[in-house]
Amino acid sequence: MNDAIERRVFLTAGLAVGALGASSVAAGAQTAVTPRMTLHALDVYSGKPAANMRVDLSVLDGQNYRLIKTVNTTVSGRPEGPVLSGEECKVGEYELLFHVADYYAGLGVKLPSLPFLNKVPVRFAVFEPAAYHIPLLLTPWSYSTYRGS
Amino acid sequence: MTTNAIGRREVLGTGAALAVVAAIGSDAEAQSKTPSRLTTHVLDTYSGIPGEGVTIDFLKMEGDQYKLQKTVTTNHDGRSGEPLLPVEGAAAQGQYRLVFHVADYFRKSGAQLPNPPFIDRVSIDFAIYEDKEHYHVPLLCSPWSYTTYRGS
Repeated sequence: MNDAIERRVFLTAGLAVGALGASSVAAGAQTAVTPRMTLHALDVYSGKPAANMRVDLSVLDGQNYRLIKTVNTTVSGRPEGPVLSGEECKVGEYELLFHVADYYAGLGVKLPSLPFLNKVPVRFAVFEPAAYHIPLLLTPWSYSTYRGS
Repeated sequence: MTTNAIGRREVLGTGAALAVVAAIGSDAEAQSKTPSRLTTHVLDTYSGIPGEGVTIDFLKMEGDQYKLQKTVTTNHDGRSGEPLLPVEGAAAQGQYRLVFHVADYFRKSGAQLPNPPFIDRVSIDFAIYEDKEHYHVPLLCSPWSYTTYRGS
């Protein structure tokens, strides 16, 4: 049972990873565009973009993550404009903190009093000036992220 | 969705949640002694194999800080040899973090990573909200992506 489930999810993830192969091959092309960081929250539980989700952006500063800004997604599941653009999108280690439990509570989804997923941290590096698109595909019980385009 | 159990079944698309419930058993005394368990599993979706030799830090929120409980390394099957959390009763409830040392693993396996790597250490923050339950938290990862979920 256990292996069967994991294989099924594994295969689903394989599709996403397959798509990623293309984006990593195109890494050279991404460096030509204006450096930017964008995100997209997709609620695959409800089958629609995750609107009105709070996302905190922090940068690793020494040992700690320091808050840079807070954004909210629109009806498209994206914030208005890039999270960081041009000079702002410096090489460094970042965290996007997605407020997942608040989002689902806002939709009226019944969650445990201590939600399994509350605030989801996605930590990644901007390793060269380029476009970094960070999608989050989420449910109250799972999520996926990857370098998109 | 009317209950959490139904929600999970919808998400996983399987009857696995039922199997977990059944496995907990019906004997009240045995049930009271059943500890909460936490297990994990690393799957390398880049190479299509279990992630062997992945360092995982296991932390619990104490006050407003995550405190390291133990560090384990995955075996040939991508699993920690023993449950991370065999704790009885309500003491198991709380906020937890698993930190998977993903970039170290992919470097060892020969993958070409940027410096700094796009994904270095993956933090999965989750809550154990019911005692006597089994929490399985797998990580499916590549150098450019990862997925986690409440498994069984």
